[in-house]
Amino acid sequence: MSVKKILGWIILALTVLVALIPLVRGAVEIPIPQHHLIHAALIAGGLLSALLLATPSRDVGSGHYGWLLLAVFSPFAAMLLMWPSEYAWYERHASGHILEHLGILGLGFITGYAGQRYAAGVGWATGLSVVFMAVASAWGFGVAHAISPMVTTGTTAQSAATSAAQMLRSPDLALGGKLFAQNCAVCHGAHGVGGEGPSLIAEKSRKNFAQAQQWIMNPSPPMPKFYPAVLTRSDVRDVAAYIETL
Amino acid sequence: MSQTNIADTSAGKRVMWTYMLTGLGIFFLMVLVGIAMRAAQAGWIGIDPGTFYSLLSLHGIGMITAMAIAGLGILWYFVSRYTPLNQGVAFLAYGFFLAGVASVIISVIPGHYGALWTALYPLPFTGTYWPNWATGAWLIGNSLVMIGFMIWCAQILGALLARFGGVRGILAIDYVFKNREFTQSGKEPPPPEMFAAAITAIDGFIGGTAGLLVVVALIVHWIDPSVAIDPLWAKNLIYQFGHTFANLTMYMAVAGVYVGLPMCTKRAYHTSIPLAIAWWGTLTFVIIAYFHHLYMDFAQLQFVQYVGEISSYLAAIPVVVVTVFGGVMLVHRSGMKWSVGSMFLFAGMIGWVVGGLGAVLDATIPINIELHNTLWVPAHFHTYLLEGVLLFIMGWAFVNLEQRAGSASSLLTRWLIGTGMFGGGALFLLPFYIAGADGVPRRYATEPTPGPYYAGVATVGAAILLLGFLLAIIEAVRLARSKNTSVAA
Amino acid sequence: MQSTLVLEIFIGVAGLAIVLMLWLANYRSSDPIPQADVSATGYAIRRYWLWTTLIVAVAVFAFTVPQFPYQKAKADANARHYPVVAQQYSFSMPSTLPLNTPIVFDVTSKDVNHGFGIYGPNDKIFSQVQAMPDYVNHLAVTFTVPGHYTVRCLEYCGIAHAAMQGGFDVK
Repeated sequence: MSVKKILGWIILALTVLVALIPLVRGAVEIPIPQHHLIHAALIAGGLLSALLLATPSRDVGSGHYGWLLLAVFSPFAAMLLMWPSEYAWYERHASGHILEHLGILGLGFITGYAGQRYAAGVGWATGLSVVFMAVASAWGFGVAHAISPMVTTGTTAQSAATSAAQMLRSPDLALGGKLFAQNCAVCHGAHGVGGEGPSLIAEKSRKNFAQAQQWIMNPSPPMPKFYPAVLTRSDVRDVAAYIETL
Repeated sequence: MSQTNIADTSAGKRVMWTYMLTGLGIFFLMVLVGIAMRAAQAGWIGIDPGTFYSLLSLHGIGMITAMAIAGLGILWYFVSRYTPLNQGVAFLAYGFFLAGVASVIISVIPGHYGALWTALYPLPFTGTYWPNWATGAWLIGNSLVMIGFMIWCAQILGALLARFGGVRGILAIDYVFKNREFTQSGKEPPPPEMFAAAITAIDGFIGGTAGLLVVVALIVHWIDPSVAIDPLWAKNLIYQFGHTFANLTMYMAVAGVYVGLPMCTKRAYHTSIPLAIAWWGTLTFVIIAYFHHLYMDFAQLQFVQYVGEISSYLAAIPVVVVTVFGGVMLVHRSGMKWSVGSMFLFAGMIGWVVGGLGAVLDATIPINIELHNTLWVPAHFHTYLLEGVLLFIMGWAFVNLEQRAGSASSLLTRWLIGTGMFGGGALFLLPFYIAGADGVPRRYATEPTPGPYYAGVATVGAAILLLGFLLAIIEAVRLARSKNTSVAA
Repeated sequence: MQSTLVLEIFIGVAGLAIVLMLWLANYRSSDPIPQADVSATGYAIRRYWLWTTLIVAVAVFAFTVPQFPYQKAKADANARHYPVVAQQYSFSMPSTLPLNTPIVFDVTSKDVNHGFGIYGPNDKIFSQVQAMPDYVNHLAVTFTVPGHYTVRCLEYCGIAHAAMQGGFDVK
C-alpha cells in the first residue's frame, strides 16, 4: 500500500469521525451558514480521500459514461441533501443527522472517485465544483440578507422622511390588518377570535414572527396557501406582524 | 501533433452533424419567435404581455442553447481528431440537452412560464401568471441543460488533459515560458482550436457549477417556499452562469475559423505565443466579466465593479485582436476563391469585432448608466450571435459541404445569401442600437416611442435575414446532395 | 447626450473596421504571395497593434474610474435623502424634488428586482439604479434641468413590466 493510499484512508476515517459528532454532542442549534460550511468540510474530506484512493483512468477514449454520469450527478444530489429548512429537524434528531452527514460525505467521495475513474483530472474538476457549491451556499442558500442600516452621515440625511430601509424593516400593521380581514377572517374570525379555523389570539406565544411567516407561506391542510399567488412576500410579513399583535 | 496525426473518424462527424443540425433547427424555430415579438412591438400583430414574456423566455434560452449545441458539436469533432473520444458520452450529453429543451418547451407552451431565462429571484415565484408546475418544469429543464453541458465539459477536459500533457500542456505554458527548450526538443503546442476547446471545457465547468448551485436553490425554494434565498447572491450566480454560457458560444464557434479558414486559403493557422496568452486572458476573465451585469447594483461589493470593467475588456480584446488579425492574415493575398463558406467565416469575424465593440462600450461603467437594460444590450449580443457565432457555425458547415461536393456556389447565389444575411442583419440590428442609445428599455412588450418605429424596421430586416438563412439552407442541401464531381485527389 | 456620442463612436469605429477588413481581404487577391511573406510583416504589425489596444483599454479604464457612481452617495454628507420603494408594478417616491440640490435616492423593492430608471424632460435616460428586495441602493444625483421626469422600470419584473411607470417634477 502506497503512502498516498494510507493518507487517503486516514483522511476518510477522520472525516467519518467528524460526521459522527452529532451523536455525542446532542442537540445544538447552529446558524444555517455555519451548518453549510461544516457540510462543505465533510464534502472536502470525502473528496480528498477519494482523490488519493482512486486509481485514475488513463484510458479516455473508452472512458465509461457511467462513471462520468455519477461524477456530474453527485454534486447535484449533495446540494439537495443540504436542504436548509431540514437543518432544524436534524439538530433535534442525532441519528438522522449523522445519516445526512454520511450521505453528504459519501457524495463528496463519489464525486471525486467516479471522476478519476472516468479520466484522470476529471475528479479534480467535479470535486472542486461540489466544494465550491457547498461553500458558496453559506452566503445565500437558505440565508436571507438583512437590510443594513442606512448610511446616515449628516444631519440633513437623518431629517429625511422615513428611510426606505425603515419602510421595509417595520411591517405595515394597518395593511396587515386589512389583508387579514380580506383573506383570513373568513375562517379565523374577525380580529382572529376564531371560527371555522382556530383562534389566533395570543398566537405570539406559539409561533414567533419568523415561524408565523413560514406557516403562512407554507401551511398544512386544511389551511389554504395564499403565498405567492395572493400574498406577496411583504404582504406575508405584514399579516404575520398583525397576527402577533392579537 | 502535426497534421499527419489528425484522424477523421466517422464517430466525430456523426456527433458534429447531429449537434450542428439540432442547433440550427432550434435556431430556425427561435428566429420565428423573435420575428413575432419584434412585429408585436411594432404594433403589427397582437400578442398579449403574458404570451410575449413566455415567448421571450423561450427565445432567450432557446437561442443560447441552439448556438451552444452547434458549437459544442464542432469542438467535439475537432478534439476527436486528436484523441479518441467515446461517442456514447457525447450522445448522453445530447440526450440531456434534448430533455432540457423539451422540459423548457412544456413549461412555456402549455405552462405559460414567463420570468425569462435569467429569472432574478424572487422571480420566478412572485407575481406569477403561470401555474406552479410550469416553474418547476422550467427549473428542471434548466438543470438538465446544465448537466448535459457539464458532462460535455468533463469529457473534453479529461481527453485534453490526457492528450496534451495535463494543464501545462493544454494551456501551452512551457511553450510560452520556455519557448526555446520547448521548440528545440521538437515539441509542438496544441493547435489553436484546442485552446477554444480547453477554455470552453474549463470555464464551462465553472459556469455550470454556478448555474447548478442557483438552480438547486431555486428548485428547493419551489418545493419549500420557506427556504430563503439572498437576492443579490442569486443574481450573481445567475449572471455568472448566463454570461459565461452565452459568451462561450462565441469561443466554441471561433474554432471553426481556426480550422475552416486554413482549408479555404490553403494556408496554416499556427499557434503563436500571443495567441496562447490571449486565450489565457479569456480563460481568466470570462468567468468574472459577468460583474458588468450588476453595475447598477450599488449594493454589490465595490471592488468587483472595478474588476468587472477591466475584465470585460481583457476577456474579449486580446483574443479578438489576435484571432481576427490572424484570420485576416490568412486571407490577405492568399488567392482564395470566395465561397459561401469562406464568406461566412470572414463575415463572422467582422460581426465579432462589431458586436464586441458594442459590448466593450456598454461594459464601460459611465456609459452603462445610460445603456444598462436598454435595447443596446440585445443589440450587441444579437450582433455577435447572428453575425458572429451563427456565421462561424454555418461557415464551417459550408466549408465541409463545398469540399465534399468539390464545387462552390454561383456568384449570384452568394450575393443573394450575403444580401439576406448581412443586409437583412444590418437592417435588423441598427434599429436596436439606435433605439438603445435613445433609451428605449429592453424586455418591454409595449415600447415607449420611438421603440415601435424601430421595431418595425427591425421586423423587416429580420424577415430579410430569414430569407437569406433559408436560401443558405437550400444551397447547403443542394451541395450535400451533389456528389463529388471533381473526384477526390 | 452621452449615449448619442457613444452611438456615433460605435458606428464610426465599426464602419472603419468593416472597411479595413474587407479591403485587406480583397487587396490584390488575384495576385497571391506566400504565407511566410504575409506573416513576416503581419507579426511585426500585430505586436504593436496588440499592445496599442491593451494600453488603450487600460487607459480607458483609468480614465473612467473617477466617473464611477458608487462613491457619490457617501461623498456628500449634506445631500438630502429620499426613499424610493418599488413594487409590482409601481414606484412610491416623492412627487416633487428640488432643483440644483444634491440628492440621494435610497432605492429598494418590496417584492422582486426592479430598475429605477430616471428619464429626463428630453426623454433620455438621466440616471438609473436597481431596486432590489432586502437591499438598499443609494443613487446620488443633482437635477440641473427643471421639468417633468419619467421613471421607468428597467429590470424585468413581471407581466406589467412595460407599464410600470412613475414620475416626479423638479422645481
